[in-house]
Amino acid sequence: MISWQHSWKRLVLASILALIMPIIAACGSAPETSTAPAQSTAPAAAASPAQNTEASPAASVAAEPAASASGQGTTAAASASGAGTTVAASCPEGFPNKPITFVTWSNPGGGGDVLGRAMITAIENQNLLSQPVVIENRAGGSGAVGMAHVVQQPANGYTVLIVTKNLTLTPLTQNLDTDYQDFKPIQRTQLEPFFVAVRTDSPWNSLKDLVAAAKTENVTFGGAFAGSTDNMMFSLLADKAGFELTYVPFESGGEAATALVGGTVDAISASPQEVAALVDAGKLKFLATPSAQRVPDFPDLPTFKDEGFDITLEQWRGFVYHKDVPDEIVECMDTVLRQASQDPSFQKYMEESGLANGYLPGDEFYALLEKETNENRAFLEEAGLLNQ
Amino acid sequence: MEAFTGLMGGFAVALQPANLLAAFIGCLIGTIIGVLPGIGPVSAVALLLPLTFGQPAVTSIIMLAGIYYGAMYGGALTSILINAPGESASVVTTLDGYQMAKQGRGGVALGISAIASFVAGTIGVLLLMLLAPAMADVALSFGPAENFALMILGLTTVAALGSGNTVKALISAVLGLMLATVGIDAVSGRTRFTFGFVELLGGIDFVVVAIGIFALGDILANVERSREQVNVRIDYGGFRNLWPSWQDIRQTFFPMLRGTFIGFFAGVLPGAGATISSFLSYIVEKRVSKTPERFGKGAPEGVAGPEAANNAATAGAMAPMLVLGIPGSATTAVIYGALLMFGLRPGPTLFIQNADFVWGLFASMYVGNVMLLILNLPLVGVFAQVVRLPYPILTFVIVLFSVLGAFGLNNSLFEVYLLFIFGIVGYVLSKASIPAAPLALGLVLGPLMERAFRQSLIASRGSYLVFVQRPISLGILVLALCFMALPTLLGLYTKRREQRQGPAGTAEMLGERKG
Amino acid sequence: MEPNANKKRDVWTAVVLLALAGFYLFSTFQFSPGGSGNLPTARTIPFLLTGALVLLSIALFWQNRFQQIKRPAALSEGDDDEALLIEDPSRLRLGLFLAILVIYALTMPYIGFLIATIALGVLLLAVVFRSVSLVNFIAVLALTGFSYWLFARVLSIPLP
Repeated sequence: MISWQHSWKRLVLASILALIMPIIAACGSAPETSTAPAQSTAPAAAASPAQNTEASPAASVAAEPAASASGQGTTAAASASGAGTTVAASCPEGFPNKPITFVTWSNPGGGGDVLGRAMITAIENQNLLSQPVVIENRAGGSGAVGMAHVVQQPANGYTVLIVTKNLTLTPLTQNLDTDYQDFKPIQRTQLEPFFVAVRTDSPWNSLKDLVAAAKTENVTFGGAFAGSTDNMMFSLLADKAGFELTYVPFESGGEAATALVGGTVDAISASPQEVAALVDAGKLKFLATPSAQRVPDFPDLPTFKDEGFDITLEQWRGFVYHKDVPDEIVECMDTVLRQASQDPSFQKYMEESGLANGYLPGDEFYALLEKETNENRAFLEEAGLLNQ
Repeated sequence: MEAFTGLMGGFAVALQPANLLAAFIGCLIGTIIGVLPGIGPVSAVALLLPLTFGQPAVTSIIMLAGIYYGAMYGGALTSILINAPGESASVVTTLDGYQMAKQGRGGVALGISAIASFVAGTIGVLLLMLLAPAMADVALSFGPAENFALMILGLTTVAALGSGNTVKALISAVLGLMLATVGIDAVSGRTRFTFGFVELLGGIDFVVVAIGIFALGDILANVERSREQVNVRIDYGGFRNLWPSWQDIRQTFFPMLRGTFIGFFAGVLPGAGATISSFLSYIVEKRVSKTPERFGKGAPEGVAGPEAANNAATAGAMAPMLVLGIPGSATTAVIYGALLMFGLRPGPTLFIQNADFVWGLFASMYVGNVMLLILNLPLVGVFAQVVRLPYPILTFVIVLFSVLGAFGLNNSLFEVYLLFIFGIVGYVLSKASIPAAPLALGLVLGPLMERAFRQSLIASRGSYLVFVQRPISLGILVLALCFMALPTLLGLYTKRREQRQGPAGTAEMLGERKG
Repeated sequence: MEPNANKKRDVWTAVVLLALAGFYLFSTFQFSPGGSGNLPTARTIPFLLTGALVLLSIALFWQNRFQQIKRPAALSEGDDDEALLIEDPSRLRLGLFLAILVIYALTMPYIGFLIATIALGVLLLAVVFRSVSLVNFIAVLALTGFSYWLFARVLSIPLP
């Protein structure tokens, strides 16, 4: 993930190696093919910038900075000057002097992973760091694996953890030695609203309808794994409204949405992104969102508060360091991330994914983590999910 | 005919030199990366995603498709040559593919698997174009109850996998299911069987188990054998055995077709479509075959069917992803993420607003298939000679690749330790002559099955009738019952017939069951 | 392999599996079941699996008893001893191989991937296979270097 030009260099090298491999294997047979790909990669590199003109608007945003980067030398050389003007003021001398890793507990393509990759692209576009940033997926255990890994890394500022609300949930449900106090927040970056969705042909047109039905008949709710934010939202709702909750946990938003359309469950909690296609297809409709304010993309959709239920929940994502990382480096990284967030490619990603800017500086983020952990502890205890 | 013109437009895009080149490079790199057993198609696509940034969306997707197909093929390569399935869908390929390689017919197996992938890819893309919207609706009718039934159907293939001893095959499957219970239980949120290891919270990775049990286990067993016995293994046929003959292709053509259809329709279903379809295809071939006893001993049909199935499953999985934005498999989830990064939102509107892109994607999937065939057929002979390497070097290569693959999963040594443990387990299993394939299947299906089972029961408030009240679920369960009962019934029938007429003519009976 | 030796081995397998089932059941009681009412809990499937494994082990055991009755003493005693007892050098080789693997895994974090792997290759060739030659040595070097390059440079996966 260094630069456009680097990538092509790697491709050329990889192609050459591709041929060395079988040659090693066969101890020297088939030499006649060894030159073809090496020659042909060069025209590709030349041809693709020209292609940019034909690209869709979406792609050209991503392509444009890459094309400009190709005119410069190596990334390190190019960004050293760039970094001098933008970041040096807040970064300690000599940081960074080796690649930085963004660890995410999302699988490739998951929310945290996409955030990390979009951020890296933006950092590169803006030449904010003199070293490349790579992403590392440490999925598993609702974030436990990623948390445990980062705590074990040296606190030198080269390992950043991308966190979600799970940071305030998983340490409570699992038998971990880690919790939010082991990290030093850099910033909270984005907010992702989630919505209550039902089938289009269901008789309920508002959250009140749904709650009224849940009190008298069997209504089945669905969302992410037990102890997740989705589960918490419906539990709180059931508490406030006074009905007994039947909650089916699913592996992913897609799976929950499928079960909803197929009739296994009657209402789910999902992020708009996960089910947008089903809403477009007229299979699902949204009833309400537990966000603090109405979501700009859906101005007519009431919040829980509008409907008379005092519940506020939002998924958020942010970046944290190991707790022993020096403050100067935390500050430096905060500046870098904040500036990268202004990059057009990042803005576009936020907008298209229905995400809101949720920037909170480190200290406020820490206070939020503390507050949410306490709130979650109460909920989990009631649900019998707390790990003693 | 709208589809036709659309597709022509798609081909016009896909056949531009830069895009062709992207497909070629994608296939090439995908194959190289896919050869490392730990890096299956999913991680290959995810790892190489950055390479495609800065290109137009179509070029990037074409390249990703190339990488994906290349990695799939690379996985088949290791399954066949060194008994190391890089992903769950190619476990079945090891059963006959590795046997073929041992007999010096590795080239034939590789050739057949390339052709099978090509056939499946071709038909799969066609089916996808014609049926995508309809198939997407089918995917929606699959709730937890249906999924549970599907997993049961998948597990019934176990009996067919054990060559002979059903009890041992079942033991292996149960061990796999047990391994699958390690980690956080998604339904209740409890941690199970992790023995204090944080790394185990996410469960045991399939790849570690598969490489350990299949590849390392095999090596350990070989190391123990005397040198003379080991050398026998390297005996290979002449040059003519490096490519499949017409006879081989004729013999495997119908298995490929059947595999394609099984794969496509199973691939549409969420969850473990590709894996289940490859196993189903294998037992269908075994049942259909006039000589089922050859299976597990190097039958080309046992390579052709499953390879076609897992390839067609990819095409099938695209349907719900593109039409409804529901990624049914890990791979489609990655491609879904990539689409989002390019600002393309899957869903019904994608077909209208970005029709060029969709057709371009279909065309590029096809181009990727052709490219793979062109790239790999000439190299098949070369790859097949891997088996000719001196055994010590080959052992080192396998250990090295296994370690790298395991390490690459999570960038941690924990997986490498697990790998060695499972290597020993594999050795013990082979000593006890317990087949390993059912274990792999159990491990893959276990979590899905348990989750589906419990989800259904929560939703039905504890009523077990839910599995038979829903028509699709009932249908699949009946099918599974047939699969289970059929060999027994057939066995009884043939036995009686044999008693009456002697051993001749048992094959036609088996021939009745066409996939 | 001789049927009698197989039979003996199967009986041992059944015993080991029963022990495994016991251990699994024990571990099942180490976590709390969760869930409520008549719904399956986190323990339900493990219980079922334990049951299945016990039944299958007994089946395996019984299978062999049954066969013994069917074909009584078809073989002389010497045969199965020979099949069970592996010739010494091979067992030594297996032991060495495993020992080298363990050392490899344990030392890798300290001496790094490159050195450890080259050492592994050389040790394997020298100790296990006793076939050290220049060609083999170069092959080990080349393969290790190639994979290191592929991982560390192309895929940016940091190796120890």
